Amino acid sequence: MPELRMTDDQLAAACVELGRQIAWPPAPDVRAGVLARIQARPRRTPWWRAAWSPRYGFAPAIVTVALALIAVLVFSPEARATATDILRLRGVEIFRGPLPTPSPTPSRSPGSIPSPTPSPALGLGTLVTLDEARARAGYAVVLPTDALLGAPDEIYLRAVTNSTAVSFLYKVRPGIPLSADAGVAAVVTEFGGGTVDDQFFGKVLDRDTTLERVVIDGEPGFWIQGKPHFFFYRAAGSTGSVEQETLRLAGNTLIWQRTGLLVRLEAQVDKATALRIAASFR
Amino acid sequence: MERARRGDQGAYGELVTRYQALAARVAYVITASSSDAEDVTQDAFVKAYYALDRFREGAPFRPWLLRIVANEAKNRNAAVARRPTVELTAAADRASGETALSPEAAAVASDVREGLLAAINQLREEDRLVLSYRFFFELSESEMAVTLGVARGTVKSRLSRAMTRLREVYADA
Repeated sequence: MPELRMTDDQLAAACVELGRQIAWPPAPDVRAGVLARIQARPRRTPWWRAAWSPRYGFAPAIVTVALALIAVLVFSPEARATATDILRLRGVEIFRGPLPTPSPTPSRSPGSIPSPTPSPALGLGTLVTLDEARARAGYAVVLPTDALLGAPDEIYLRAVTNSTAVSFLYKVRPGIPLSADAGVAAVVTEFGGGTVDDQFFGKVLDRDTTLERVVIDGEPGFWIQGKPHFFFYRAAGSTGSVEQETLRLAGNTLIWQRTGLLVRLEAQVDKATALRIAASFR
Repeated sequence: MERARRGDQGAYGELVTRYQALAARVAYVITASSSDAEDVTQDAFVKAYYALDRFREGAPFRPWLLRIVANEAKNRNAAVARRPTVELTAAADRASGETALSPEAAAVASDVREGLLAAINQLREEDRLVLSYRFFFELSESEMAVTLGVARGTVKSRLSRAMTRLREVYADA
């Protein structure tokens, strides 16, 4: 094969997409088996085991020392800076021009009724309660209070670079058309510390998708109307790597920064409604 | 999690339900056998239950569990003295109801996808695992540090090295 003509970020994005297409074996159900085994032998608490676990003690330290040397070489600030510049200048070019032809059967057949049950392939992560989301997000989770959305039907949690993404799923809402692909009304996703940058946006849009800069509560945002599929943002943290996020509904999307969070609303509503919902976050 | 730590087996059952699919995939990446992956998943959850005292309060459960899963899976490979031939394949088709493929997905769906998969299958277990954790299971770097039992800086260097090898194997194919 020829060499891969991709930057590391592009290769990473390709691998993420690849991962979503892997044919995994069906998930087993081991719950009953596990419970039967642990019920047969109740857990005791040997204090010395809790205090001292030689099994995990040594290896990490040795490996850390050995590989720290490599880390210094590979991840020197110069190397990182160069990589970022390349991405800025050239990395996004592969997305210019018309969008590639969608692969076989990416969406439902015309005329079929969108299912009100979202597919796990929305890739929002693990289903959690609001309390769990608040406990595990690592930042103060905010929710829209606008009556059009009301309370979310489901809440999901997943890890993103240097943060945790919390997603709120709104299945059916009067006044919001269901997404043709995902069969849900709206998805709100937030994570800590990321920033958006218009230099990343212009390149990822096709002819039918428009981009508009907006300001919400004095902070920057973008209104994307049409069929956007993904966007780039700068991750939280000192390295600020450029990350790619897939838009789950591939429809109108509002992305904005809000007191240290990066929030996005995906719903087939007009701009004024989206801005109103965005202003209702508490 | 807290209830499970205090010995509530029903609460632990909920954790099993929540994480078993991911655990089985991690085991599958290592054992290359769905039946072994299922056994490993069950063993790992049992082992994790008895190790809950060692679990630091407030720490994330997922990476800690996956570390136990990976160890179990490697032990199983060693026990049967086998070097498994991993064969991850891409789904030919997506069921209706899923979201449309993004432009990259469509691009990756073609020859690059096959080439990347073939290359990943050929990588050493350690490299394949690092790439899988980061890109297939989308673990954060801090989660990977826990799962691999290394420092965060080491995660970065391992990932970088695995990507370099991926490029090499891809180009050599």
